[in-house]
Amino acid sequence: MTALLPYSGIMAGSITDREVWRVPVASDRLGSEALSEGGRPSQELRITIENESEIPVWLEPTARKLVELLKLESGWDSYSAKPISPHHVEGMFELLCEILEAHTPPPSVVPTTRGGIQVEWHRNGADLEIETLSRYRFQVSFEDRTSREEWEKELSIDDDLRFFRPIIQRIS
Amino acid sequence: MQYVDDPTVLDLDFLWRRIPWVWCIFDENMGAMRPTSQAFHDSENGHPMSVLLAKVMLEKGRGSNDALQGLERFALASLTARSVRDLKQGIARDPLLEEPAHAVVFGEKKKSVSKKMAKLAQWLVPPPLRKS
Repeated sequence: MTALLPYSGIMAGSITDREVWRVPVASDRLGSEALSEGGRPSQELRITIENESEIPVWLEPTARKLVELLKLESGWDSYSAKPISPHHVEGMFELLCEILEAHTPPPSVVPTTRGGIQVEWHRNGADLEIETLSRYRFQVSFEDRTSREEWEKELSIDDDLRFFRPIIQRIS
Repeated sequence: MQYVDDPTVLDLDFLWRRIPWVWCIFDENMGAMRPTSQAFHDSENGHPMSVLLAKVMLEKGRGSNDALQGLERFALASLTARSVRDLKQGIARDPLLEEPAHAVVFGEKKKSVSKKMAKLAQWLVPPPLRKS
């Protein structure tokens, strides 16, 4: 599966094979990192699934929640929270596509006051939280009540992500 | 600004924290809705985490619903001052014109601290049940 995330303006229907999700994103949130198409900044956040025989169970609920969070405006926490950055959404989606399996249950998806995204699972006696620090960097926190394993780490999308495999199986 | 832990906020006093619904998650390990750890950070503008002192609210004849006045899609969670201090946080009164019960919880909020506060919080005004 590949997630392609140029930026978009309208949310399209349900996810099916090769379906595209178009997500409303205000152009002023795109900033200098915005992808461009044909030399013009695109205003689409688009999620495309390619060569996927089995649509992952986590995909649609996660995409729906991300779309919902992109609608939050400044001060959504009643204080000074920033609107959610499409770049963080893009980064999180790319990471999830790398580490999750088709049967991984959908995470809870919550906004951060810095304009980021956190996904989290609390099941099977384990807690896993992944927060975007930027488009390419993440903070991961894991706790297993059975084995008493507990750690936090920062990582990049370019790091070796194979260590996630047993963790994802643990929360699946 | 330097804050000092206020001894007139007693360990058994309750601190109320407003939680937008987007910060409410279902914890299958607990079998219940609870706030996410993201709900227990300092503010984006650098201001320490805001709370309301329940004692001040109640002295003024104001209850939990008054804490959410003017806010839509918010829940209200409660922590004891002791549980917060046990996590190496301090509590300082910070009354505002529009909210005399306002106070702040100051101190370094590592991920582990935020996670603990999230699990210790008790609902006063719960969010609607949502298992996703």
